[in-house]
Amino acid sequence: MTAFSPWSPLRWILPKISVENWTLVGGASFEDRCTAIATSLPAVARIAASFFLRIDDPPSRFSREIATLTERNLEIVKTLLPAVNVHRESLRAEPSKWVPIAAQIAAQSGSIVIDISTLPKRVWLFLIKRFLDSPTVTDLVVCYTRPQLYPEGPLTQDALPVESIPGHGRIIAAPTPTLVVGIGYVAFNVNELVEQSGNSKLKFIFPFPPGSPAFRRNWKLVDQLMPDARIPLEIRRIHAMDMFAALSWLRTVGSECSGMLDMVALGPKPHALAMGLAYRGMRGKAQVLYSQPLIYRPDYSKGIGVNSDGSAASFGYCLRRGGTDLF
Amino acid sequence: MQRHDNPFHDLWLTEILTPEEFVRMFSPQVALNASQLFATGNVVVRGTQGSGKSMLLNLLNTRTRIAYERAGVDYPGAEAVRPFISAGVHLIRAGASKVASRLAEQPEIRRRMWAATTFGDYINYCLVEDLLENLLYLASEQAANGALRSQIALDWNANTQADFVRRVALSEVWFGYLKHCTSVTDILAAVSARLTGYRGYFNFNHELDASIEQSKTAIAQPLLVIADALRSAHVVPNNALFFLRIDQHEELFALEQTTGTGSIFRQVINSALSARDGRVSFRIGTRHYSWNDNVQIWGSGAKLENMRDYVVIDLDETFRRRENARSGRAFDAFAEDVFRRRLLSTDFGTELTEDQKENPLFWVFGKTLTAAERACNIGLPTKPLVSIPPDWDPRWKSELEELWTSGERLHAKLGEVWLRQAAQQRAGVHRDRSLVEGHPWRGQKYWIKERNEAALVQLAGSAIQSLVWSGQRNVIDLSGFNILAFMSICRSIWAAWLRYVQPGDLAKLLGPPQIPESEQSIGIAEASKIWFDKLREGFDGDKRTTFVSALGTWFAKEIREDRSLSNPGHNGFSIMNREFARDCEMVRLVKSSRDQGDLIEVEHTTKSADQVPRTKWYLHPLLCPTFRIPFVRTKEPIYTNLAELEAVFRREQLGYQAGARRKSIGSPDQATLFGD
Repeated sequence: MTAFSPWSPLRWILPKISVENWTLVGGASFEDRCTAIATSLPAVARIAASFFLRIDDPPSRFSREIATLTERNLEIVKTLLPAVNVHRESLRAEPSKWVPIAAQIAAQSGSIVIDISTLPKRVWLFLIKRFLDSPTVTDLVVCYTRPQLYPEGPLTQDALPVESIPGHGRIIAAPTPTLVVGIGYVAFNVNELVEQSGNSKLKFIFPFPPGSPAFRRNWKLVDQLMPDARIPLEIRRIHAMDMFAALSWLRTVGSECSGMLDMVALGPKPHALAMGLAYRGMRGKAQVLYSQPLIYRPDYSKGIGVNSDGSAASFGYCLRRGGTDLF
Repeated sequence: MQRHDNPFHDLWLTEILTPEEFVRMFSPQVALNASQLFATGNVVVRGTQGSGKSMLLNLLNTRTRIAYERAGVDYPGAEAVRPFISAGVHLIRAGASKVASRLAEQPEIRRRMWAATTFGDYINYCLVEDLLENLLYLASEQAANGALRSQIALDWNANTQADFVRRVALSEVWFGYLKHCTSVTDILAAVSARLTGYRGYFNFNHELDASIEQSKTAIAQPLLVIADALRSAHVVPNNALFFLRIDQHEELFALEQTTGTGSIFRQVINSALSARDGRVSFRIGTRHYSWNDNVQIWGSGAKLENMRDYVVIDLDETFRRRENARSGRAFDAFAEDVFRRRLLSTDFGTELTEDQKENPLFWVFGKTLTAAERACNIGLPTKPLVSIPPDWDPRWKSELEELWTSGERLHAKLGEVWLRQAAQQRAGVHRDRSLVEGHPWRGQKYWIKERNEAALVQLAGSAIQSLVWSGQRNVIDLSGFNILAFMSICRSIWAAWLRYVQPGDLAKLLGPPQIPESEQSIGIAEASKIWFDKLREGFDGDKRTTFVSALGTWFAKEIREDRSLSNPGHNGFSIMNREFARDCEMVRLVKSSRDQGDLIEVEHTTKSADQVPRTKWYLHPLLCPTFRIPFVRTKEPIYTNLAELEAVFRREQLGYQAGARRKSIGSPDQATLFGD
């Protein structure tokens, strides 16, 4: 049986879901791409309410520049959407602070589009978990917009030690979990993780197809992550935007190791989303891990990616429709 | 392991060693210097990252002890102990930091209390679960094959079990949570269910069950009940000790910093230690500044007292200590033993001669070159690297250049340095060769000793060359008393050798190789670079990297530009203790760098007239090759203050930022494949 994988450019998939009023959740960010959804969405869907989450990094030498860019982007969003609700919270806020916000969003139309492009993983993975757990959320579409480009050089600094993403920790002890690392640009100490959790196998999800020079940075990361210990290694190539393919593979890996998985979300956000969804089926034996950077460069990404027809490169992943989960 | 494998490829992954591998790889040298670990009372095992804390604590693990017995290997420290059983919690693996994830849901007025009681209860149940599992495992092994019976004989029959369960279940310490338990299996299931309930709650899967919320136990109390019950029911001997390990204690320090909860979590642990109840004792694995004597005991304004409430095993200090003139420092023997064990686990293991087994480090790395010998590897014999200004007596120039060409390159350089020093300059010796006879600096043994490493650095700088590092002494000294650094150096050297050795030569090799100096030097340079890159890992990674980079650049400049080598000790800095007592970002950064092992901290006996107590810090020796500075700690460090240190740090930070920007502007932009 062919699996149904409802993902496509956002402007194509959204009209196919017969929803009258959407609630939009987005990031109020210094990255240009946070405005893409406000630009493109009103043309294909009716937005009844919108919530933009402004996440403040700890104070750094970039704070002023980031605040200016964020204000500018927020102004753009406000001109494009009616009645924008802005919630401001610190990056390191305890996850329980997001609980009432998630409830408030879920209490709106029940049909949510969440743009994860510029939100931190610890926030959007947690919110999606809350939405999926909420019986009042009947439709859920996740949107991701590619930037035009990433600059070279270090994009983030001062990453916290690896820990599980809120709401995605291990419940039941797993003595020898398999470690799956999503390959991106930023490294962290996988050796420490292998040491701490006694991983028995290591697998990389490598974004495919490669394009120069992104693949060079991806392979550099693979090189950095190669562990000191000799443990079996597999590199799996999966399209960077194909969340459903990543989810399918993660489930296969999970079934091979009885759900005892450590998934490290360093790679593309669609792969991180797959990890969050795979986690739900592992009955508490898995965890999704991340090393949260505390400082982002103001030019972390530039511009908004475009498709060949000139439209914004925004992809939509339908996770729930009419109360039925589609993953 | 094959010949073409690197025996040091797996560095120090204690957690993935099976008990059998642990027995093979663990060096008892660590335990020789840590006999308190097996004695009564609380013990704090303190050390930097990679110093071997977790490995030492794992020694207490029941499975490890059984593996020792099965292998017929003497259990380290066995003769010093009373019967004991141990249980432990690894705070990272137990997800202790998640306790704070739902703090904000509590009313502010009871938040601290809720955090302390929930954390204490969670840790209690983690330890109880592990203690019961250890007990059941040991009982089953003793029933099957008498394991550890000579060390701790369990009486685990139906009667003792029933007695034990009754005593535990009836105890008020659980607030009724275990009252329905009629067997150990019941107790274990209830304990596991409680932990699962907690984790599900911390994970926002559900609310906390009221039965848990209303039955939170005080820290350590359940363990006391279990220990009492096991003794009273005669399951364990009356004099049996219970060692409760809490590893990665520094995780609590990090948690408190990120959640702004003061020092609540460490206070709770302190509360456990403060009881000084002989029925159980704790073994805490922590880093230096995470264990802060100023942290109070939860529920009391008091503080723990060293030697009264606990004793400290400071692994860094232990290994730094000189045993005796012949055997050198404790770390030498530890490193040698670890190295020997690695070799024995390879194909070469069966081929080792007695001499190679006795002195494997010397066999593989050989003798470290003297400073004079190392100088002969710098520059060309025909091109003296001595810099004599034109207004000096030309006889000095010809004489020092002759020294160079005749092979005495170090003395040629030291002669130049000596002439540049203030005393000679004042006396005009540099302008008139006839004012002194011979080479006066040659008789000044300590003057030379204090300067020859810095002189080598200057020579290598003039020749645009790297310094040569090789030999047993360099390998050990560059490790900075840290076994992880030692293993990293060995791995890189071995890898460099494997790249150059011909397959035929490898096959013909009898016994372990004697690695040439050139490959050793390449390996050490690579290990230094890896060690520097590793700085980014862990807490404050980028900030620490920038800080270390700032210090390295600062020291290198000081040494290079000090042409008269008046301050050869400027590869470290010293700050007054009273200034370092301040609570500010720079102090936190220095402490964090010290805890991560980037800096080595030493008490400073000041030479300044004020005699104000000071502390000095040096870069970890393995970082020194990267910055091309000497690692030896000689003479006086840079006397500085926090303001200057901050200025040095900020300059580097601005440079880093500008560099990153320049790089992004100068390089072609990254065509995106996906977002992060």
